[in-house]
Amino acid sequence: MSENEINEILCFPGSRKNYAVDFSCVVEISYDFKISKIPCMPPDFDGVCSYKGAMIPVIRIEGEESLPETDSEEESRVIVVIVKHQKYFLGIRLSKEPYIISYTAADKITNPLGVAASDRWKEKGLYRYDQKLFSVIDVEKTLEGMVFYP
Amino acid sequence: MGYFDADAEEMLEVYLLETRQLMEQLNGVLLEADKNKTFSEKDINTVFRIMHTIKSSSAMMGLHALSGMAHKLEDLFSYYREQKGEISRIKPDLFDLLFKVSDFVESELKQMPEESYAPKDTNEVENKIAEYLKSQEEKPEAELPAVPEQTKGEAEAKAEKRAEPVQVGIPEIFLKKSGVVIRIRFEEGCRMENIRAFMIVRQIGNLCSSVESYPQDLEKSQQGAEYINKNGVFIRFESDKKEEVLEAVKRGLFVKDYEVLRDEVKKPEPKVIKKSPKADSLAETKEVEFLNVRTDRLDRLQNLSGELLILMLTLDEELKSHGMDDVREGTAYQVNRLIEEMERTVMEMRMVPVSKVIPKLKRILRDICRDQGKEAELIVNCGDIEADKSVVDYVSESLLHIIRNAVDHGLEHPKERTAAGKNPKGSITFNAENTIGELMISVADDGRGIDLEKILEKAREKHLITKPEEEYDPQEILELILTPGFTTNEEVTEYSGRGVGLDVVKNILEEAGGHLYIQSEAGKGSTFTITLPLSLATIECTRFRVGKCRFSVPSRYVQRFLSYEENRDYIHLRNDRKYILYDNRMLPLVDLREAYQIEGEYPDTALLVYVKSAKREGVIIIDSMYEQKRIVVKQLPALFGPGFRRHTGISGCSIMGNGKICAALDIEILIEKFTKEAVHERE
Repeated sequence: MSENEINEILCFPGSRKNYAVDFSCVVEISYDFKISKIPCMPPDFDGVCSYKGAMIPVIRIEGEESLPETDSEEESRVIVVIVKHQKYFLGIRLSKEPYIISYTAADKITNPLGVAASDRWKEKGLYRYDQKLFSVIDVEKTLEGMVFYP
Repeated sequence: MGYFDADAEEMLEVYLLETRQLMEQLNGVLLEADKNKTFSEKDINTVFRIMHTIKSSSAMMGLHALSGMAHKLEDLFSYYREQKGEISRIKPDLFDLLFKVSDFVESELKQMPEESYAPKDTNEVENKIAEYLKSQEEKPEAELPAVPEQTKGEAEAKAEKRAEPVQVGIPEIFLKKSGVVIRIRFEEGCRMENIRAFMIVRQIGNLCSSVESYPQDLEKSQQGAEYINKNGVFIRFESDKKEEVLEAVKRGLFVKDYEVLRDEVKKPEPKVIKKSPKADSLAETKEVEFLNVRTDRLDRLQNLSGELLILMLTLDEELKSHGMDDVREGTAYQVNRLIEEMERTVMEMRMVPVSKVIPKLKRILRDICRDQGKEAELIVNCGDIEADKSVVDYVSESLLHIIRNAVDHGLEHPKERTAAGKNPKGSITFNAENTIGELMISVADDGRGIDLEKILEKAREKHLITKPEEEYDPQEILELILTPGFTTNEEVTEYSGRGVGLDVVKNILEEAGGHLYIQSEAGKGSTFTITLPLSLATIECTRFRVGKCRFSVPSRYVQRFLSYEENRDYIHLRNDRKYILYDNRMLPLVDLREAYQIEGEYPDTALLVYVKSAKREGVIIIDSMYEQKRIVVKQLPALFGPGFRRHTGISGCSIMGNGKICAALDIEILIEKFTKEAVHERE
């Protein structure tokens, strides 16, 4: 689906960098997930949560290392956005509430260096909305490149 | 819409069920006849009857090509029937032809439920059958088996006896009702008479204002089939199109004849009619009827009972945290017991005999031996062991591949065997047993064994050697054949050597929580052993904690708990690996904190858990224990990737009562991976 056909993106404002995903990839936004530690997950993953009986790995969005530990018995309920591509589900743990904007409401930024991508997050475009820059994640490429032991 | 029209679509499920059962029966007869190179009179009648049924039911479904092919085979076996007696010294061509038909029908049945299904052409097979029949008919009379006069007479007498109608009156339940009552008899051997009768009642339903049958509940009752086979089915109907109804009945599939028992319209009689003891007994026996249930419905029921089990754990936790012990130990406890009983019942419903896989194995063995000019027999020791249907399906696929490999790579040609002082006919022994809640199946051949040098050579060529060669022990070399893409067969054959062999089998088994082991001795043969849980749905597990992580192991592996504090002095470090002296043996000590880099140290109250699986044993150090519970083990997330289990020894996840997630450990991989000499097998 092209950007023109997808109208909305879900934005995650962060402390250092802002991310967004096409809303069509979002399966669930929950404030009530419990995350549990599972060994051998990459360090930027917090653990797994259960969503409708299925196990979903939960990652911290880049730049959010300061988020508190989740696995204490007392308090481990956090905001998690679940995105999906084919058989892959991923929970993204957020520090602030996400919000939806329309592609048409945001300005696409031309990046003279080409699409900047981190090792973890593949980017499909850079947008500006309300004086903030949002890196729109290419969910398909990101999830396919994220498999721990292919 | 697919190939079938609406009517046929409705009957497809019954047709597939019936035809699959018939094919299973046919394959059984063929394998036995092939072994003896003889068709007994009974076999001939059975094959004839099977083909007759498939011919008619396929025609009813609009599958004319399939019906035509069955008709041709029916002709061939009709010819054999006329010869009377058994047919011996049968050439392999006939069996090849019959197995070809069997494969063709099974392939068609597999594709029929698909939307894109279109019947395949049967001309080639039909021509071959016709040619074969012609060659038989041209044989001189003297070659045909003779039938003793006495036998012939007996057979005719039997046939006459069968044709004699059984005198039965109108069933009492119809006596006080108005309408026409008829009795329909079906052709002998048409099978599933209750379903045939049900189809007729359905067909005439739209011509009648009222229609009922005796026996009732035709579609469900196997008991009914036996009754109808003996007495026929009774139908009472009210219709102003009586002639059309009777014509439809006459045209019904497998209808031999019908008689009108009552033609006049009768007013219901007010008098009380005494109940027939026969009808009563029929109703009573319904309690023990067998039903064919769709597996997807059983899967759904199993998932639901699993979800209930998880919810019950959560409820139990909530009640505990709110101090509601009276509810927890009262009603909640009772509900929990019922849920557990329901879960067990569902599990029992899904159990099928492991011996179900044997005909397939015999068939593949026959085909490969014939193609490769080898001789082998399958020796089966499996008793009446049962396992979950999905487990048997997993096993079935894996075993087919193992048998192919055994013949292809293991068994020698008869001349080579004779030269080695062996019986020219090789043997493959199939053993199945139930050990500590696990299904253990082994397939052992008495072939040449696996050549370790050849494996190393091939592994070098394919760059599969990952450490200095001198560090490989014989078992590790053997296990190289489980590496993806490994094959030592120079020529890729139809059956194995495609390089997608045993590694795929291993992965399939590990996905289902099972394992594959190999043992081999040069010149004496190889044994492949498979272990799998008897059921994949829920597992009785022991759960524990190490740092912030929670783990579970199947309780069937947990043998004993020991105090860490009291046994600390028995822990030894050898070559950077930990061992513990237990029961006068040095056992590998699995330190999960070290292996998984979990923060913190073991408390003084830590425990040691002695675990023993089918092939390996060891001791795990844990911080603390949770309750032992029956749990649903969920699959690992797809993002973990297919290699996660093998790299980490974590095979799945389960949800605890407090919503936390627990990692399920694969004891075999864990002990292999995190201890010294990768394999520490028990004798």
